Amino acid sequence: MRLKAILGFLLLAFFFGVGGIYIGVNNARIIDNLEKVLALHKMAFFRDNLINEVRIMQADLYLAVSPHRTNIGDFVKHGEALALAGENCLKCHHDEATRQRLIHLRQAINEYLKKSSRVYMFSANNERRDIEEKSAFVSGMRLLGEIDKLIVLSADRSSPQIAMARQQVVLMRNTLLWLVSIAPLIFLVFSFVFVKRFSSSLSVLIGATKKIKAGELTHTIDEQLPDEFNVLATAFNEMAVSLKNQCEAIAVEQDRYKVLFESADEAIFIIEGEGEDAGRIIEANKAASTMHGYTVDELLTMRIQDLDTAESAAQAPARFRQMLAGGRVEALVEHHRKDGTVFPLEVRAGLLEIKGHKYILAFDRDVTVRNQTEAALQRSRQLAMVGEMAAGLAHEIKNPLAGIKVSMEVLMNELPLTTEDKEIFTRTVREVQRIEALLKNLLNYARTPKPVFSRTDLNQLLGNAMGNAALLLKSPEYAAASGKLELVRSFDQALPMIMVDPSQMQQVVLNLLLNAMEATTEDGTITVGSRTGRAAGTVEIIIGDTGKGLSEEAAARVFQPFYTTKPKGSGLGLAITRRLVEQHHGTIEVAGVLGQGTTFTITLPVEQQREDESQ
Amino acid sequence: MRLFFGRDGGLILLAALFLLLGAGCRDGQGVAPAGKTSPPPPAAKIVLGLLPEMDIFVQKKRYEPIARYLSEKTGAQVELKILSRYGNILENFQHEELDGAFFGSFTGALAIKRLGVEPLARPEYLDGVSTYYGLLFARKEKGIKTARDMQGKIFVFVDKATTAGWLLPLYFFRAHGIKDYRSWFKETYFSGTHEDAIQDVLTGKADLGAAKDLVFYRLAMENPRITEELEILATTPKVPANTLAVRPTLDPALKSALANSLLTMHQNAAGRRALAQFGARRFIATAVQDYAPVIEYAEGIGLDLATYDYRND
Repeated sequence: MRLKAILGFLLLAFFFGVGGIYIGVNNARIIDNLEKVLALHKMAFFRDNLINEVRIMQADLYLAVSPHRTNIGDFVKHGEALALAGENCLKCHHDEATRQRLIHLRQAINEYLKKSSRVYMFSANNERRDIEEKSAFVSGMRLLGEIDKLIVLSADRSSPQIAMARQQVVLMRNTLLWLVSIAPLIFLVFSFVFVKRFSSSLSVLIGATKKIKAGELTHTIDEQLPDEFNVLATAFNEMAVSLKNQCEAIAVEQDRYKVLFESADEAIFIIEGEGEDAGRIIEANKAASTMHGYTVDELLTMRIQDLDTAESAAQAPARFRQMLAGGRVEALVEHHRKDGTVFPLEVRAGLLEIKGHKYILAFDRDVTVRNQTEAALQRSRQLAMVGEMAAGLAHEIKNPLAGIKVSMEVLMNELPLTTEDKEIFTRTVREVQRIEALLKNLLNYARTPKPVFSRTDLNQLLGNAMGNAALLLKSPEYAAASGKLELVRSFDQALPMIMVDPSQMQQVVLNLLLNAMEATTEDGTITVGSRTGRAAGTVEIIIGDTGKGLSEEAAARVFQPFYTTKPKGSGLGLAITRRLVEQHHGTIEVAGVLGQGTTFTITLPVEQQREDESQ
Repeated sequence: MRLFFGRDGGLILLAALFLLLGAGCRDGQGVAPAGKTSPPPPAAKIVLGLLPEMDIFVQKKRYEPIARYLSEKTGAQVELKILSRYGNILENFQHEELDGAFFGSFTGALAIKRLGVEPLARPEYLDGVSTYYGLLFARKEKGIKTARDMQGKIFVFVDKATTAGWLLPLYFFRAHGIKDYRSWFKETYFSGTHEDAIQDVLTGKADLGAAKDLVFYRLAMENPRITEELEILATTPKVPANTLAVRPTLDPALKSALANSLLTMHQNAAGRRALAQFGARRFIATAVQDYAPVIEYAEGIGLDLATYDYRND
């Protein structure tokens, strides 16, 4: 195309050059013709002037003998003017024949002037003077005749010349007008074609660029563009494909990182590090939103300081400075959720620099469960340690205690005791028995035996436990302590067989039934139920009573060891119950309303882990 | 377009505008305003009269180089005024307010006597001659030799105020016993110019004529027939050639300038060119006493220059 453009411009320059030269040449011709016309007109003027000068001289001659005679000075000037007029005619360019005639004319003028001079100089002889005057006058007339002949001769030649010159001038003028009119049109047409060709290709390219800019990365230029534009279009299409591929790769990368970002369990924040907006949350993942109870959009309108508690916010500036200095921060802070609850966080953060701009990248982990677990573990270790210690103590105490009991029984049987003394011995033996029971429970809690799982019909197990409980209700001890109690069963008959240690589970259910019976001192109902659990693969055991219920504080502590609401309770029953349930990988929950009753819900997995089954 | 109207193009355009403004402002500003000065005084004007020695057109043309030279040298505007005849030069001297004139010998003597003009210089021609004399001539073929032969012929004078064209014939007439030329000759007239007198005799319009030798022989150079066909019958003594004489009241500085310019003409190229066109070698100083021969000649005829009537009749 470059070649075409160059050729086109060269062609244009050539045409304009030729046109310019033609115009210049024509201009020169016009000027020449005009000069010719001017010269011809000048010649005509000189001729007319010559005639006039002769006529003036003739008039002077005519008046020379009258009282109105022209004064000598003016007469001389008229003569000089005539001589000059004759010279002017001779100065023009003429052919040789005309030139000779003009030379002859000049001689005639000189002779006429001499004669005229004689007339003016003559004196003292009027007759002779008149003769001279007539002679001079006739000479003047002859001169006029000669001039007229020359005029006719030249007019014959000059008129056609003038006409021809005028014609040529008109022709050249029209040609010039035509050229001046057409040339711009040609230029315009040429320019239009060129520009259109050029601009249409550009329009296509610009349109394609706009589409790419708008995101249509699949857009390609299908039109066949001329010359180098086609090469450009091909390059453009390749660029679009490459751009699309790169965008797709970037999108894939972006999606990958987005998945990582969003699927992370930890809350990830990207925080503005510099300027007035320092601390503003730039980016937050789903875990951050879930953790704090705000939507992601809400988090993006907040600063990280807005999530800190007052104590954590006080330490934030120092942490910020450390991070901006390039250091990493690992700290335990507290945030508050949208609902106002405060929770502990482990924060690991550091500086993130993108294109020279500083940000903070923070990974927050909710350590509530961990803390609770650690606390529970600590407590469990403590309790285990206490339990071991208690078990060891119980073991050490058990034997001497047995000896004490036996000795007291022997003494009671063999010694002659008064009734009061026998009462005392009996009470002592009972207390020892209570201590033994306590020690046994303690040992049971401290050294809970591992469960031996077997596939069991839960409803049957519950029925057995209820039967045992019914027998206990008939015992004089429970009959006196409680009102009329009704045992109700509500079993899910479609319940699957579950893997439990039947004896341990029996113990659990029986313990809960005994607690229910002790809690229901007046007429009431104890309901035992079974159902499929809310979570898949689980079953639930529900034991509820209409007894005295539990306070919130009691409900929170009821499974703690040594916690009891009974006057003579060891406080280990429910602790042991929970231990046994937990050994079955289940959970136990209590819900109680003071004065209305208590319900225990045990959730057990249907299946146990393989190592348990093998055992 | 961006080239013309982009930042650089705009700067270029702005610079061009500043240059144009500067050029426009400079026009008329850089030049110091002309101080108020009075217009130069008009050059002095000197009007010099010319006698119709020959064809008046040729006569004026002949003296124009001298006038131009004098204008350049004196700084005054020298204007030539051809006179209609010799005779009324005295009247014209006053009437036409002439400052000077190239007087003939007789008119010069008259002017010196009656107007008190001061002669300054006269030309010395190419042959070294600064005088002229009068000729009486006739066609050879006519065989006119004596006064008797002249009787009944046609005589052409030049002017009553000329030495060669009037005094000489009168002298001849008196010397040869012609008491009344009007009755002696068939016809007499005044041609007005020496040239016409010569031409009239040559062409047969007149039988006899009188004119100055300078004109006679100048014309003879152009037309050899004059010397071939005309015969000299009598001559006058030599008298000064046409001399430039100025009025006595002329500014002495101008008078001096005129005299010096003429007298030193031959010493510079412009003067020499003018002299060549005029037909002279140089100008020589002329005094009143140079006119003595004319006065004596006139008195010899019985003319009183103080009361002489120079009207042609």
